[in-house]
Amino acid sequence: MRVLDSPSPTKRARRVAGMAAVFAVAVLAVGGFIAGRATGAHGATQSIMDVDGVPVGVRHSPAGALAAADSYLGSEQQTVERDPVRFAALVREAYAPGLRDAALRAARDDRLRDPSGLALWARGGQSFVVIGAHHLDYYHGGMAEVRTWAGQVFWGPGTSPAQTWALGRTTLVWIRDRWRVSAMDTLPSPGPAPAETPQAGSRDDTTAVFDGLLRGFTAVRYGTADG
Amino acid sequence: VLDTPAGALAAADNYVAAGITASLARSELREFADALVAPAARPSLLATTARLPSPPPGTNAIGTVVAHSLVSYARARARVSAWEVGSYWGESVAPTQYWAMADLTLRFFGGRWQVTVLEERLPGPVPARIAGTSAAATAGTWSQALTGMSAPYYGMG
Repeated sequence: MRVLDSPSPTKRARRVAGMAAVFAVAVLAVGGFIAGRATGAHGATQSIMDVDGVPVGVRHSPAGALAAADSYLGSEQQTVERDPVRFAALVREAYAPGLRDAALRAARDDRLRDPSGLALWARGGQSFVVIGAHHLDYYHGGMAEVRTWAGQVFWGPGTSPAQTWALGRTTLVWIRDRWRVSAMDTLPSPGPAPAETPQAGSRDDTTAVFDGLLRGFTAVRYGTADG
Repeated sequence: VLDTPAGALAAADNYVAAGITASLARSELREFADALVAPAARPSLLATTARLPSPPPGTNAIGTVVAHSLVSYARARARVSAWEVGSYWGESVAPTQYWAMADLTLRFFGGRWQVTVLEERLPGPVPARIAGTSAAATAGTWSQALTGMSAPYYGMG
């Protein structure tokens, strides 16, 4: 999660200047992968398998690549700042070997650069990642690239609920039995953000309302039409 | 199409997302109701939606489920609450969001989940602080960035 660098007590409809990178900036070349043609792991009928709490994309198809990219991006955003242990598990299970060390270093650097975000989590802050839309830019069997419009909603004690959006790109490579991330970066063009939230008001835009109405809610999961 | 708790959640997520889009692009609403809503519940859903204000025809719309909760599950029956956001924009319409909570009752019939009750609580929790530049909030930016994109598919992973 990349919380705004300087969360300010803005009121609705007032824009916060500057937007922190929403996606992990991990533009790292990973060359030389000869993608395998293995079939889905574990005799899977689902496109996403849970491996030690990590959503792993195991469907070797265009739809499977989309589901994997959605799942990986969502998981990355949810954990990179807030839960480094789970983020490390994601890297171990779903990142290409050549990217792992750099991804962990980049995550550590991101956390150091965002003390306000870490403070929010330490105070019991909450967040949900939103995959708004996606596009399969290419699929060549062993490799795929997905462009994603994604957002994040976060709130907590002392931080009124806020949303942030960005466009990202995830490059995947199929290795042995699953899709693995070979690159994940934020696109420079602005991520579509709303101009209007006409419903907003004190009845529905406070931390107390969010805590109350969303207690027990969990993140959605992604998949394909056939599993 | 799986009569399991995870199957019910995945079905609800996909139905809610499709329903939001259909409610904002009314031409799709009848098709949505015919495909996913139990026959007895269709008239009520269509009548309720017709009473709500809607964006001008031709407006782009996309629905997203942010989070969910399985309220109850028993064989062939489930109740799910979903936190949803609908976004719409167009040439004469500034990019606008509405947030809501959707409460669904589902039954597993004929090999798939069907909606028997769909109630929307407006507004849902609204994250009113919006990060980003003003350029991110123009209809042009939305159209340019999202043309060709599609909503994600929700699964059981």
